[in-house]
Amino acid sequence: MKRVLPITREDGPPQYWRGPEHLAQTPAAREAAGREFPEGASVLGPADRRTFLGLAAASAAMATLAGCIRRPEEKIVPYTKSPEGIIPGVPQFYATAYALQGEGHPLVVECHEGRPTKVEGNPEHPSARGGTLSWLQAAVLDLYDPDRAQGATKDKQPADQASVLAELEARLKAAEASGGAKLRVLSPRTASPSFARLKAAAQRRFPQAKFYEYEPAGDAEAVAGAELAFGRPLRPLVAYDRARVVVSADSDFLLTERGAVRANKLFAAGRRVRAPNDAMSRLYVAEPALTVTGMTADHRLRLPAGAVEDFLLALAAELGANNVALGPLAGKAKAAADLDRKWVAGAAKDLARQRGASVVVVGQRQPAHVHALGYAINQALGAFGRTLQFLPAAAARPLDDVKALAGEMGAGAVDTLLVLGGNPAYDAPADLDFARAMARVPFRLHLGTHLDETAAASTHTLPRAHDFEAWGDQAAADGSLVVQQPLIAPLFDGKSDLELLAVVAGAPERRGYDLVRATFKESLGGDAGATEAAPPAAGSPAPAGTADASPPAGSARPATAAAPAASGSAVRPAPGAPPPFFQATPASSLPSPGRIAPNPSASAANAAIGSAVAAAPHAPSAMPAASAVPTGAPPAGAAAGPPPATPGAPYGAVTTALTGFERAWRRLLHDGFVARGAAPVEAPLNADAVAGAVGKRAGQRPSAQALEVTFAPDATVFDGRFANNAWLQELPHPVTKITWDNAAWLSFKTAQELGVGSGDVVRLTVEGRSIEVPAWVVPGTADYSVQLFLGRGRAVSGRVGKGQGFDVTPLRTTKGFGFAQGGKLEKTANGYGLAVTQEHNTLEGRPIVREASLEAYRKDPEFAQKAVEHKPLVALWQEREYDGHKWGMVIDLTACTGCSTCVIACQAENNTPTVGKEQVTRQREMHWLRIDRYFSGTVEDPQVVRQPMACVHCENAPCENVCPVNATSHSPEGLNEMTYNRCIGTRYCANNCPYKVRRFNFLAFHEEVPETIKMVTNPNVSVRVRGVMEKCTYCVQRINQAKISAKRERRPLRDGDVVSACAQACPADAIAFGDLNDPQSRVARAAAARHGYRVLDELNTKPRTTYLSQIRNPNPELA
Amino acid sequence: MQIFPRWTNKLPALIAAGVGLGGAGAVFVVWYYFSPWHTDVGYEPKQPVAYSHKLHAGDLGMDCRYCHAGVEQSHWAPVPATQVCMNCHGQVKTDSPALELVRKSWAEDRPIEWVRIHKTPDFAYFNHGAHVNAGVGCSTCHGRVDQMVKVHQDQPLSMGWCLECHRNPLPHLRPPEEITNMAWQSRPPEVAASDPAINHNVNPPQHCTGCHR
Repeated sequence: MKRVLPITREDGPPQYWRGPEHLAQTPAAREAAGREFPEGASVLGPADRRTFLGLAAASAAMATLAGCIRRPEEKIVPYTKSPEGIIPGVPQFYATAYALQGEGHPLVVECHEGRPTKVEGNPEHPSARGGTLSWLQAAVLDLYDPDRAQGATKDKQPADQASVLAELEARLKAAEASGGAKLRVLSPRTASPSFARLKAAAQRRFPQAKFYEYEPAGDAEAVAGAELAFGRPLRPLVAYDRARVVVSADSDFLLTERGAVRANKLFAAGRRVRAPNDAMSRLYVAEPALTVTGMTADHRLRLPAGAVEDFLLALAAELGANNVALGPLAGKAKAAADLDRKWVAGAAKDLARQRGASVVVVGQRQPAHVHALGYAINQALGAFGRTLQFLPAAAARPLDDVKALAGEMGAGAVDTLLVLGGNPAYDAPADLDFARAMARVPFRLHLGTHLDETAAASTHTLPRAHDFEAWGDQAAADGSLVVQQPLIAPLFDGKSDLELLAVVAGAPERRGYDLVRATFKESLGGDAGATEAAPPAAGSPAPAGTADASPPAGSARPATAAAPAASGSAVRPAPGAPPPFFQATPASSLPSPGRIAPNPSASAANAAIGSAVAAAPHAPSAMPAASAVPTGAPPAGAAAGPPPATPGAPYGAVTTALTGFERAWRRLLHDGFVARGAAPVEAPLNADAVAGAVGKRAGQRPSAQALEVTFAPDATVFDGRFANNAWLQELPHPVTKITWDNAAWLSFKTAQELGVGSGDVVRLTVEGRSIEVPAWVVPGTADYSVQLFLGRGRAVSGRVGKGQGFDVTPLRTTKGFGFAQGGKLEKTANGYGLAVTQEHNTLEGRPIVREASLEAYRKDPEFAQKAVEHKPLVALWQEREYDGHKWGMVIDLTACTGCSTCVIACQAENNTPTVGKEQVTRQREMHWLRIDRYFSGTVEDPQVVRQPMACVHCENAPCENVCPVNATSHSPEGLNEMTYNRCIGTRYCANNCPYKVRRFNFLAFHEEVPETIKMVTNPNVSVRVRGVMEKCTYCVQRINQAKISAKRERRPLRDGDVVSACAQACPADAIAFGDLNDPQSRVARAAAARHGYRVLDELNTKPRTTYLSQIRNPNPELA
Repeated sequence: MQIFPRWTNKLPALIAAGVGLGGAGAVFVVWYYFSPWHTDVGYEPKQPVAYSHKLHAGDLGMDCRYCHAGVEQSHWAPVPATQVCMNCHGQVKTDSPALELVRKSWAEDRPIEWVRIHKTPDFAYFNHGAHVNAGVGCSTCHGRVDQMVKVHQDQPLSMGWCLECHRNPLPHLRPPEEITNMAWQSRPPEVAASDPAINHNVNPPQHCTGCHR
């Protein structure tokens, strides 16, 4: 019997706990902590004796048969016509984009023989700089979703796509007479220039038609707030790196809000502490329920969403007291009695002290006038032009559009409705009863990725192409234009929004490629850009400079292809530009008016491309098109039809010969973006208008009888568009660690007063509408505020998402879209089992997370190493010297927000299976990388530490000593390697691992995977079978590939050649990976930081992963 | 009365000898017949097109990389597309019956399904590019393909065979320009060691994740 260690330590100052049971030290929690595998982990699933015997007999028979056959005959199926630039076995990388909340995320996607497998951020893009989010990482799985709409339907019956289109065209033709008076088009909010161009053309064709926009989560209120404050729609752009003090009023700017990747990069840059003298910004967060941003806060205030306006007014009042000139706002600013006066005053004083280097951010779900109030406060703080700028934006009418549309449809004023993407029948405000209103439209066509709720309410549907299947363009967070290049021909014959809109517009071009090209031709100025410097960006120095780099690349292409080529990875982010783990603050994060954001890494990366560009993966001619039938072999005839622009000539040669637009276009496709966006504008703030709009609904506070209900996109499935994505469904929520479900979050006090406990199903009623949802008591939730998450409980979805979780949209109305008041909550007799990984793999109260305030750190930078006292460590065996490479990782707990992007990146890179909810409850989840989340402090106002934990590659690894078959061993470079084909599944290693990072394949998780999903697997990593152990390998396939490439080029490995998937994906650059023996490497310098520590170093395991302690920057006045 | 006749006195010795011989025989059978030297070497399946490497690579002297282009970059030596065949056979032997399938493949845009001969297990990530660039020639693993009318497997491609070279690579290396030279003879160790074209810090992995991952 394993000794159960005390869960909490009496000597360490902060006590860390994972959940309420853990804190209360219930017997069950103590018992669970002492086990490596939970009760029942080894039990076979629900199979009776008969089934088991049948299976055993069948497998025995098959084993015999397989043993007799000398060797199964295998076929090699080459191409018939080689697609240009493809060398079978060498991945290609294309720059593309993925749109979320109307923001184009610049990406580089890895493609194996025309099969996209892995998403990375575009390292050359000035604002994203290679960062991604979990949704972007998981988007590639959606591409292969077998439940996607696979063809057109008419009246729920499969129909010919051409006939549906013909019917639409005929209808449009007929509508021309009336100017399209009864034609309506509804689309998600988008910043696509092509979309805008085609919309304008369609509007010209149908002057009476209306084009509406609706997005269930987005920054529409922020733009509308700017319209209120400035008289024109603008989009705020915050320079978090320049802000010394940030106050977030209900804003989750680090994850679920628009521009999160950029915010992460900049925010982390402003808080990167490596030496005691480094500066660190301070973050105040006031919010109703913990978010990723709230978990990062130095000071956090529990605040109902409805009290945010009062909070900002109180903040303004305190600012006034600190001699900040408020202007007309002074009359409205007043303290609210029930708010924590000390907290607000402390924040205000800090803001005022750092005038010009402080900023207030307002959450997307807050109404427009609260955003306007935020802008006014920022102006008073002198933030404009320093920490806050504004980009022009399209006018936003947050809910007016969808309201108007529902009204018109209900009144019979619409006879043709086109829904271009989105799923309004599921996510539109419930009081509009969108699906029923839709039913009154005779012709209603939905272009959707899935046959979802809206498809069910439509007469006609067309399959929508995935973003990786279609041409498009988007605007990135910083306003730069990004091009969305297809990586694969539509698997299910999908059409893009642009292509359908072109039909409506009657545009002469109908193909996505032509449409996007035409837009850029217009905006790049056509032949006007014929001069050398001008093409890409009208004076932008960066692209022009890099354009000059391409001729040698092209001309260097030898006929024999024998030149050393950099593994063909043209824009592989790894050799590109390692994120600035060490750089304190980038020189400029904000494009100043009239200046273009510099792109220093582009030319460097281009040089690294070398002659590999000869592979021309970025030329449109290399546009791959796999056959729709997935096969293991390269698809037959995978060559795309020759593109219109390049009749099969080599990239380099063409580029050198090209001039004007053609050259700029090629450059655009190669880079993936134009670093020229809309320049920031300066607009005068109309303070009177803001003052007039605020303070009308003061004093509203929730109570036990009238609860506040807040809505937020889920940190995993977002607004429901990823509901059928198993990676995201199984991703533990960053705060609660709940998988596969959502719950209603309550504070301890609320739960106690209402007599509810975690897991009880409650009935929540708002204005006569009610839902049933399990309650979950979450530390840090505001009292009488109930947090709900969108995106789950889908009635019509695929096999993964259908009925998974609870639908909260019935409570979401036009009046209470961001949050609603007056909710009632009753407990039902039912309970609901949630699969929560919160208590899995606990490390039994050992001091594995370490933290200090900035002040304490400055006094004693080595505090972390002193956290554990131990005798001198002596190894039992002779220790090894590592004189070659010495791979290691550094994880910065201060920068980590817990967003879980790395978890999905690891899953995508390493073919980690998903296991399903039932298996998660048995603790069989397979994530190699988990993010432990620890609370400390009081249950209601906790502090949070997040700790990404994967195999730490001990030099004296306890797992290696106990393996009876030597399946886990040590490499000369210090990797703790796992050899699957040797493993016999004793699980001794997992039992002996003090970090609990080994994962066992209890079942054949890869076997029942649909055929299309198999296409997402990384061919460079084994797919593990049942009965073998697996764990983090430090992405050994990337190490090997980089070494092979370097050898081919006869050069030593350089820092940045090897980047693990997690480090590459992290938007906050919290993870560094590389060679510890190279003193100049990013990882070695980070590992040398004095607040670094190695987890359980006292066991003399000598882990290779170093953690940098969490440093907090609390306001001494609020201590 | 004697129960056991006299000759039975020899039984223990005979049994011992029999067990010894039988055991040795069993070891030999397993050692020889179960090894890839027996099971895999010589594997010579029938290919859909009677392509002769002897004719093309041997008599005509074509470089291996004319067809297997990309072998320096890729983890595998790409099997040529039909297009590559048609580069020549669009003009040469345009009506040969042996090339019927090739022409059909070209006309119908359907790939030729060749039968795979050389194969490492799925969990062994062999990389052609790494070996070719290190100076391991084609013939080292594939034998005298230029003399094979029908290609067969020449070496066992087993892990022990791989490790033999990984432990002592020098005798198996050659200068990069000799990679496709089928008649290459390995240099004496001291010559190889002093030739920088051969001995250039080749350091093949011998740990598990060098090949298995």
